[in-house]
Amino acid sequence: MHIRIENLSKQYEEHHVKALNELNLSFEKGEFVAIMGPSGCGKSTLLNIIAGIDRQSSGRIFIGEHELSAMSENALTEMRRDNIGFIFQFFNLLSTLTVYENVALPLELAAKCGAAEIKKRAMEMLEKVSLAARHDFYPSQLSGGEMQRVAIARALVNNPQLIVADEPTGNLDTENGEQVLELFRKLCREGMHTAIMATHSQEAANCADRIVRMKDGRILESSIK
Amino acid sequence: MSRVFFILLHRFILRELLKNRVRSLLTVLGIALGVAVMLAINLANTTALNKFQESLDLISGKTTLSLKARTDADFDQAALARMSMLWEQGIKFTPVIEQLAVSAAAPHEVIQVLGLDMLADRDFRSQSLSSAKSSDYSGFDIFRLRHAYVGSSLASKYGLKSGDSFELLINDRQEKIIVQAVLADEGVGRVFSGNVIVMDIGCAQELFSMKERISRVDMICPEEKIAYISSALEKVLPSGLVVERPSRRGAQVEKMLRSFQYNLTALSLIALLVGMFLIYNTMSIGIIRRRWQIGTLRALGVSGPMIFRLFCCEALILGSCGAALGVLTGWGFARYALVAVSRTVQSHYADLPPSELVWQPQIFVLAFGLGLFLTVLAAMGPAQEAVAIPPAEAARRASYEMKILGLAPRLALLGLLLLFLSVLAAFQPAIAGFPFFGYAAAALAVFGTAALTPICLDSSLKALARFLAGFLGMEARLAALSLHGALGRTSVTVASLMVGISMMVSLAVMIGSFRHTVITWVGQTLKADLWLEPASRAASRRAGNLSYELVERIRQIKEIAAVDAFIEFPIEYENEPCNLGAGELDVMEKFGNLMFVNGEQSSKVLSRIRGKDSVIISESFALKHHKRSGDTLFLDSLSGKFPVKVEGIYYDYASDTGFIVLPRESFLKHFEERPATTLAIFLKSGVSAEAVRQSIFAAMPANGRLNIRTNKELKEEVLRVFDNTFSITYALHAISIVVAILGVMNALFALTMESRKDLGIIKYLGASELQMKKLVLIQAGILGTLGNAGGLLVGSVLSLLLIHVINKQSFGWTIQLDLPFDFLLESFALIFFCSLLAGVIPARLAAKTPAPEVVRSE
Repeated sequence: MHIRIENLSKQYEEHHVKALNELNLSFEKGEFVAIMGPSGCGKSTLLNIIAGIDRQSSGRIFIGEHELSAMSENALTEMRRDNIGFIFQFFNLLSTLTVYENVALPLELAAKCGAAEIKKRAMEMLEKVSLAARHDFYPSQLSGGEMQRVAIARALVNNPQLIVADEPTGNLDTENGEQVLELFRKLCREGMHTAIMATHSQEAANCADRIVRMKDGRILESSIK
Repeated sequence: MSRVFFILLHRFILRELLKNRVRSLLTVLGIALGVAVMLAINLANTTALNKFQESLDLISGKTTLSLKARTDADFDQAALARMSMLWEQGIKFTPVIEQLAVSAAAPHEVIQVLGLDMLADRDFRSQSLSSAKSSDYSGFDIFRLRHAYVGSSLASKYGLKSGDSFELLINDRQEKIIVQAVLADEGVGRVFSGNVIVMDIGCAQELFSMKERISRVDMICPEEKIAYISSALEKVLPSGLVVERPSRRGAQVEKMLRSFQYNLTALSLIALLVGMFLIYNTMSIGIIRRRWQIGTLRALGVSGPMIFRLFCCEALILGSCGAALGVLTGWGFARYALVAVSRTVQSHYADLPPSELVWQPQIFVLAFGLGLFLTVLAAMGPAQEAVAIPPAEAARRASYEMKILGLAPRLALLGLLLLFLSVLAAFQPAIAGFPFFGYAAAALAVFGTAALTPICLDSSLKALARFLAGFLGMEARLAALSLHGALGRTSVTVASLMVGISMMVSLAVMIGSFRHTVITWVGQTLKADLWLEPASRAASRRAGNLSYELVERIRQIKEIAAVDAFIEFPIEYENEPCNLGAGELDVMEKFGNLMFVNGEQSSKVLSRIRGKDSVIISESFALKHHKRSGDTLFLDSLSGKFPVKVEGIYYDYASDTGFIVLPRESFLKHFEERPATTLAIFLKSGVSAEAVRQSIFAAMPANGRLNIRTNKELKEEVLRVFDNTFSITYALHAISIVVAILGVMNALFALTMESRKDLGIIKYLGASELQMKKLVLIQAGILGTLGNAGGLLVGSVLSLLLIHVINKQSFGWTIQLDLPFDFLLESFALIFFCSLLAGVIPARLAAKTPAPEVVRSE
């Protein structure tokens, strides 16, 4: 999925803060891009706007043929559900659901396949992240690394074209972080998913095909490795 | 209190309360309703009783001893001659006539009529006239027949002034009196709240057809001579007369009202108890939500006791606002409650003077204090839970829910233990006529089932998730699983709702069963075609009787097959008030059908007592005095005590003080003849009741005033009185529903606010607004359904306790259990609908969840 960003700005009126300032950027299909920068530089805001969770103040974003700002709320929801997977720093698994239920949830929300198909795909995804044996565990019974693997499985289960990951290793120790990142990259490659990852970590960024550096809502540099 | 405490109070508690304004407001409203109801009932109860006591004190004046008939009847004034020894002792005494009349003009006010010795009475009671007198006023005119002073309240209600005539219903006729002057609003003028007529005793005897008879003799006796005089008088006077202190009369009425008032107070506490659960709910959810904040504070060095004090302060703030609002609105509720309480007391116990609410600061303080105390008490548990949060645990959001899941089996064991204790308490007898153990059993049942809630929800929510997903989709499964995941919060919410609904169910079942029992009883017992009573009794159950001549004239009407002239008057048995009745039991045997507790046929029992010194007693009398068939009672007559054998115990729902019914011939053997109070008339077959009613009206003298009801009209009247009696219970019932609904709304707001992060994640995962709304509404529906189900279960247990323990021990009535399905279904539908309605705003909030913000902020 090709993504094109033109003159994107985001201003938080209540705080008089310009989180993104005239940003221009594009992502190719199957590309793995790391966005780096200090806290408050606008990484998460950019990810949220790309994912259609937040709206820009000005500028345009094209995801494939679609311009996000022209889409209705319902269309955005549908697009997000079918085409975008999320991975968060703090995993954000639903504590009230089991591992399996967390992974199956996007498929259930999309309501595009039957129960048997959902189960098959969710379990397959859990096999891929080596957590099938713990499918009936609750998130609170898992380690941090395991939780993030569940989050990866959840993000990929409906085979989205774009994966958005916000500091996916930020809450993990080095060893777990490396394992999770390796798994993430492998699965993205296998599925030809476009992946955009915000990170503070140079080690994590080194796994990406391209590194975009940001500061004060602007792009400082975009370098292909 | 340290400065740190106030800083934390401001930043940690006050800000939180303001931030969650809707929830704070709902909680405050819940407490306010509870306090208002409790205040209203107490104000009404004490106002009614105080007014009654005040009236008795004013009637007594300086009297220190009174001579009266043991049977509460009037007696021959010849007794005065035997009291001449009092002169030698320097003790003043004066005869008094005390009767009730009813104003002939609407609104048919009950009026206390005092017949006094107008020359001697000034030593006993203060009596002064208002300044407005007619120009030809003469003090001696008060001795003229039918001339009287009227109380100022009565005068102003009916626009009376000196020289006016005023029509009264006295017994079965209408009589006219002339207003001699209006009494000043003091002393005797304030008796019965000014609804009083004072006349010379001779005039009163003439007016009430009480020739040479008096109600009592008042005496002013120095304290040190009371014992001596009492025993000296009892030696020279007939044994049917008794000397007693005037205060005894008030004490007897208090005894009579005790069960009614205690139970009403207990019922009024229900709303407050439901309010307590609301507070528990609010505090628990608030503390669960702020675990990480508490943990952080603990990590920063805030001590456990300070955390405890902070949360107690939160409860104190909510409690103060709620209790203050409650006492402000309680005054309004009290006006309604006073009308309802007075109406019930008037119908069943004693004639009450009309009362305006009296400002009683101590009750306001009590209501405010109790509201506050119960609020803080309800908050203690959650506050203790807050103290127990270790700093490290605060980082794990799910830890509390895991803890509750782990605690569920232990809580269930505790619940079973409480239920076992509840069963034990249910089988304990009443203490001093009050069912303390019955109420304890009810409280234990409520707390027991509340403790069982987590374990029940643990399995039922999982099952519901599977079941609902089948036809409501994945949102239903997610809703049920979210509730299961937040088991602690869900348990508290469902338990609060369950308690509110259970109170509603138990009251509905009790009232419905009672009503059904009364309908059955009335249908089987009231067999007469016509019922006749003096018109004055329509306003007061204790005012009036039927003249012998009229009864005889009615007996002569050829369409009438038989007449049971029933005499009814209050007596005391073993120092407890009750009623003595005498009827023509041969008529009852042939035409009537009393229902006996042992199932024996009415005619069989009545045939056994005909012509003998035997009685039948009502169930409430039997229970109160622990009497069974075959036992012997000793009754007071004018000539002393006489024994009677109990031949049967019959169901009766007319009076909770109880009835002893003698055959007429036995009554005449031991008591002076007295006129009948009601007539049960049985018609020959094929005769029209309406035609006979007209014949009776035609047989009446011109000033005759009677109430004649057909069988159908009487049955309707019984149900009207029943519904009036329970009007206040219906109101309490409605309030407990409102408090329960406030609980649902409160809980849903809390749960939605609590679930904001989860909702945000679900939004990230692609849930549409519609799906999120559906999810929250299904959660609301599940909570409503579970609350309803639990409420029905606990309510059924409570209704059994109310019917078979609390009501039976308080009033002595057997009530047949009858479930009012229609009402219960309507209520459940209403609560379910309100639950869904309560979910609308949270659902909209959920749909608009700003996903990045909430996910980031958490």
